[in-house]
Amino acid sequence: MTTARVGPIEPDATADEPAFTSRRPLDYVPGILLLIAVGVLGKYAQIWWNALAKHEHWRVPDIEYVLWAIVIGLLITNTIGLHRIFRPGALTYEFWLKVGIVVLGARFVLGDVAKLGGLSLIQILLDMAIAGTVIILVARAFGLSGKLGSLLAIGTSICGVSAIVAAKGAIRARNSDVGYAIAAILALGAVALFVLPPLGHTIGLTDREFGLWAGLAVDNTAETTATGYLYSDHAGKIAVLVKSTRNALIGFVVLGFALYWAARGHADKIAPGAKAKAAFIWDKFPKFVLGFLAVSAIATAGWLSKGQTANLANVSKWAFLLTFAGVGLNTDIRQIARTGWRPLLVAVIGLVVVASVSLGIVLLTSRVFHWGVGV
Amino acid sequence: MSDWGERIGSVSVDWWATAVAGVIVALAVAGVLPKIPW
Repeated sequence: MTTARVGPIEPDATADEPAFTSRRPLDYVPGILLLIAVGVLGKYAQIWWNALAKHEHWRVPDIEYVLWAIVIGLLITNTIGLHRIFRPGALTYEFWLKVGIVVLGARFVLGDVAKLGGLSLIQILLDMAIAGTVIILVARAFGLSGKLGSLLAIGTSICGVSAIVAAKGAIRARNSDVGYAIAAILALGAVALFVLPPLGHTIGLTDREFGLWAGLAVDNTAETTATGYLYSDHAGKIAVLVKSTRNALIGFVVLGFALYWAARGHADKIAPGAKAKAAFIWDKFPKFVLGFLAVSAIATAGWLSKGQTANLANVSKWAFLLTFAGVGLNTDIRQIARTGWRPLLVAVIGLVVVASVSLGIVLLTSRVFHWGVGV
Repeated sequence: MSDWGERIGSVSVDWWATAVAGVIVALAVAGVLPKIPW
């Protein structure tokens, strides 16, 4: 019998890369400058594109800065490649994402957070139960290992890469399974980003409905934020809140899977007692969610003027812009293609299942039950 | 110096992001955050 594993889990080099990869501050400068350059170029590309279309009398869709920043980043990485001098800075995009989310707390009063968080919690639990079961069954039907199935279910139902990395040590998954699951989840995030917004417009979803849908269906927080903001600012805000609620559940879901595999003798035992389980959940809890709630409490207390709230909203948008540039710069399509078709197929089925189930839940709760429509 | 670096490195990205965002929000509460254009 092995001891409890409640300490932090080290991501391995082949899997998720941490946001901070160097101890020398100067190493981050080139990459951060590149994030800023790609982000600003994306922002101006939208303005230039619209001006050109107007000047030439083209009837073309308005391409959002979100998409421009991602596509420019993708083009750089997948054509000339990302020089190693830029890597430490380019990998900080997760840091900017979290800064953006915490600051975004200023746009929510706690009452709305509780209302929307509570509503989405019910939707998330339903979504997780249905979609998670389907993914595990499909993974089994395609002959993937049970643990790869578990990782895909965790990744699709909770929050992609960080949930997989958190689960990896807890269920003692093989590195190859972890690499597969992460590549599949990243590929899905990219697919969702391009597919969901046009689908949402076709179905005629409101900003709120689309935000809920993106928050429930898109796996990785950076891609969720991008998908939401591609639709509209309001949809982006809602998507971030729903996704943060989903992220907050990481510990519980990972604990559930860890207990399942430990009971079969395929993972380290969790120490008995509520205290050890609480420590496990706290270890996996995304701490930036606390920052978001604290900022939201400050906004609720009325400590921010209207002008400063608008200022903070802009800080948040700039932080997200760097995130979107980083998403593009860190997506290597060749690496995803090398994963092989089986995990990708299971992940695509997973996306279709999660997207359909969550869309059904969103439409049912907002159009039939009229839950939280005013938020 | 290396001890200082190690200590900084051991702080997770979540706490770093919360701390940096906290400073920005504190400046906004104090009303001294300069106008951020978009």
